[in-house]
Amino acid sequence: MSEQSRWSWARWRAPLVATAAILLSVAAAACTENLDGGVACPSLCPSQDEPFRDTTFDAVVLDTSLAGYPTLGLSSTLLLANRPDTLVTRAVLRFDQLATSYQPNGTGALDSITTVDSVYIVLPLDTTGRRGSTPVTLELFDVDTTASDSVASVVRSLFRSDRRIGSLTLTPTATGDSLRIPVARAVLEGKIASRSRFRVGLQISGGSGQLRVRAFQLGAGAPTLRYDPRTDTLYRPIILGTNTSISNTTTDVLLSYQVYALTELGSVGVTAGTLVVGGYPAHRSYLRFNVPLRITDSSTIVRAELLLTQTRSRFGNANDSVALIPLVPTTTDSISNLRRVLDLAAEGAFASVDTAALVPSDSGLRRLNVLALARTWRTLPLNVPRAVAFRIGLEGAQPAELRFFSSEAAAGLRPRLRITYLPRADFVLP
Amino acid sequence: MTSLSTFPGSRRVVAAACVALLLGTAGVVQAQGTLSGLGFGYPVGGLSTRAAGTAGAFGEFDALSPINPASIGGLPRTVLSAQAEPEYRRLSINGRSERTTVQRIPLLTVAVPAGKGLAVSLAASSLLDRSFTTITTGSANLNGVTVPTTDRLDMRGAIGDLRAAIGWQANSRLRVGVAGHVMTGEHVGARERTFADTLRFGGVIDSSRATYFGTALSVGGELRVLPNLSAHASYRMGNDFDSRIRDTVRATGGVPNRLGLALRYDGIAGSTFAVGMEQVSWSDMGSMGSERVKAYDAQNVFAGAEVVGPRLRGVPVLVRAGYARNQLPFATTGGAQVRETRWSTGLGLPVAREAASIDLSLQRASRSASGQAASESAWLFGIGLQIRP
Repeated sequence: MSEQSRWSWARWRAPLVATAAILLSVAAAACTENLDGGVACPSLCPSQDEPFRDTTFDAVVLDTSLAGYPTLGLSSTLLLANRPDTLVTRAVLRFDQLATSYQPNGTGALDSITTVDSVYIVLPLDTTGRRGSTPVTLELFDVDTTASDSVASVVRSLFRSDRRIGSLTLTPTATGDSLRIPVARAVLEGKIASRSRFRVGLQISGGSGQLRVRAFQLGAGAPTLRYDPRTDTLYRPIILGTNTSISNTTTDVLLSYQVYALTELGSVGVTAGTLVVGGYPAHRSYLRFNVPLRITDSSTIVRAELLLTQTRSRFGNANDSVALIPLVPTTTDSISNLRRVLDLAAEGAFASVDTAALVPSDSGLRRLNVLALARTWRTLPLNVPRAVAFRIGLEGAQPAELRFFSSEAAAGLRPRLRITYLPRADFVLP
Repeated sequence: MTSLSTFPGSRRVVAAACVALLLGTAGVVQAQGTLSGLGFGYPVGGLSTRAAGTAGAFGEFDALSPINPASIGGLPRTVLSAQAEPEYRRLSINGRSERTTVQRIPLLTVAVPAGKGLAVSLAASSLLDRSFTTITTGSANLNGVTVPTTDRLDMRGAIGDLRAAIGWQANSRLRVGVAGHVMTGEHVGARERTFADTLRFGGVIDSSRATYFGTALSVGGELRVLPNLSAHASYRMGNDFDSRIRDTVRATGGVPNRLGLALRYDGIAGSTFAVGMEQVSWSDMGSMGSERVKAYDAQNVFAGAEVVGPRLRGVPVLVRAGYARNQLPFATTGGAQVRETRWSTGLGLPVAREAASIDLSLQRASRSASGQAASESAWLFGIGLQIRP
């Protein structure tokens, strides 16, 4: 090996030291930045601590309760009750198109139904809505008529003994998840023979009781009509769901008249100076606020509570807690019809506004957390009213209501907003 | 108006440097608001890595440091320079300590000879670096109820100095120069407060942004009073300095005036020695901040040397050392001025003979203030690249 090519520390020392220094510096310059501190606070962290502001004010500029919920026939459950001191309801099921033919075994051809057997109305039940530990009678009536049966009084008049077509005695709290109520064969045979409609009225009589029927499932009526197309047992029963036919109407109307309820005795409704949520038929309440822009737009809201003074309700299941479900209206002020506004309102859960559980028979101040809602107000266009609405859980399927004092009540009882906020500050300057 | 930007994250240093170079400005990559970062931030100094290796003693006559415009007079070749300077900081207070890492690109310079002893230069440097994050726990009183909170404050930004200078070497004994400065930058703060009770209380996220704009004029001169001894002086005269929030001037102060003086001795072959001082009237900015911050004028002194060391590929390596005593400009109201001592060393490494070189610096800074329980120490690594095409 030559002298020139032999490795020499003296020759390479300077380049190696220089290279090491450069690499060290590059490595130092490439280190991850870490600015997190705070151990010296507050002595070395002089900052402008803006105090939180807390205000409670009569922010409600419009509050009202709207009746008639849920819309006729569009509740997923239906309350069938006979509680003479509280609530009496009836139900109507429509089977306007009956199966009038069947396929005799082995023939491959259709044959007309001339006789039927094992005729039942099958009602799926929500067992959480049962009430009554003494036997009651569930009666069926033929409520088909050529009169105007969109008028409740006309339909009510058809619940009479000469139109009774079936019954079942049962103890509500002892029922399973469905009921099979026998129907007189001759009635259905007559309907099939005459190609007429089969419309059934249901009511509970002979004692106090309550059933909650599943009215709709997956967008279709859940109660069914079952019958055998012959008297022998070799044929599978025909099962028909509810259906109706009304000329020149919309699908919504057709759906609403398949299964619907009639109220004989319900809640008293809205009284002066009150807001009602729930009841039977149910109410929804709407409250519109006027909140200063300095709070919604120029501050950060850290707490927002709607203060409602609850007044005692004695209607229905007054001692059972019920859910007060918020709705968030999102329409602009171009829609002045409040029912339309509520139809288009979003469920509070979508805006992270929580449901509250309240007992109808209680009274006193209720603080409803509307923080998430209030924090959205800043992002809304000015033509969207700042508002909230409420409906009751199991609306139209439970006899319970919540009553609150409205803005027409005495000053100390009116709805108010309590907002805690932090005004924005230009804290960037040292 | 070009504003100095912040580049969060050291891994983007190179990209930041490229972008900043294209924009003709320097990106200041974070700092923090501790003992040294109070008020409008830490005065980075605008020193090249070479001058940093001497603790700032060479700043008055270093052509790459945008301090004395006379220093570029007679520049023989075009020079492009970029550098990075991370700082590893340790703050101690009452037996507790915390470490932070700050990334900076404190200086970008282009200097071009214009013939007949004239030269022009454009430089972007950091005037004040104010970036920090504090995370603290505390409580908030909400209508008589005390609720535990966690507070986080992120502050990012800097004020930079964009300088255009022209220098002239009148003869072998005299150089003079003049420069115009634009001071511009921004601070962006984000404040987050979260409550322990997240069901009833929503957190607070707030942000605030301020921009700054000011101008200054500086002049400088260099006189060789003896064959191996030269005197250097520069003066920066500040004009109005505005802080704006949402395009509204919120406060007006002045760009700090600065007076710098230095003596340089080249009497020993292969070596340069320098001493210097500067006075910066930071109190001109006092009216720009709140009553929580007090601005002090600063008197800084430096001493440093550069000697020829071992040869690398036939070209000598330059070895540097220095010492400085500085006063920092900002303190809390009622607090004493923060003082800083620096020891430094550095290397100048040739890379491509005369065409390029790399400067390295290592500084140790200690900061404290009388009456303050807090003290701070820091290592600053500098790496600078000079290209002379």
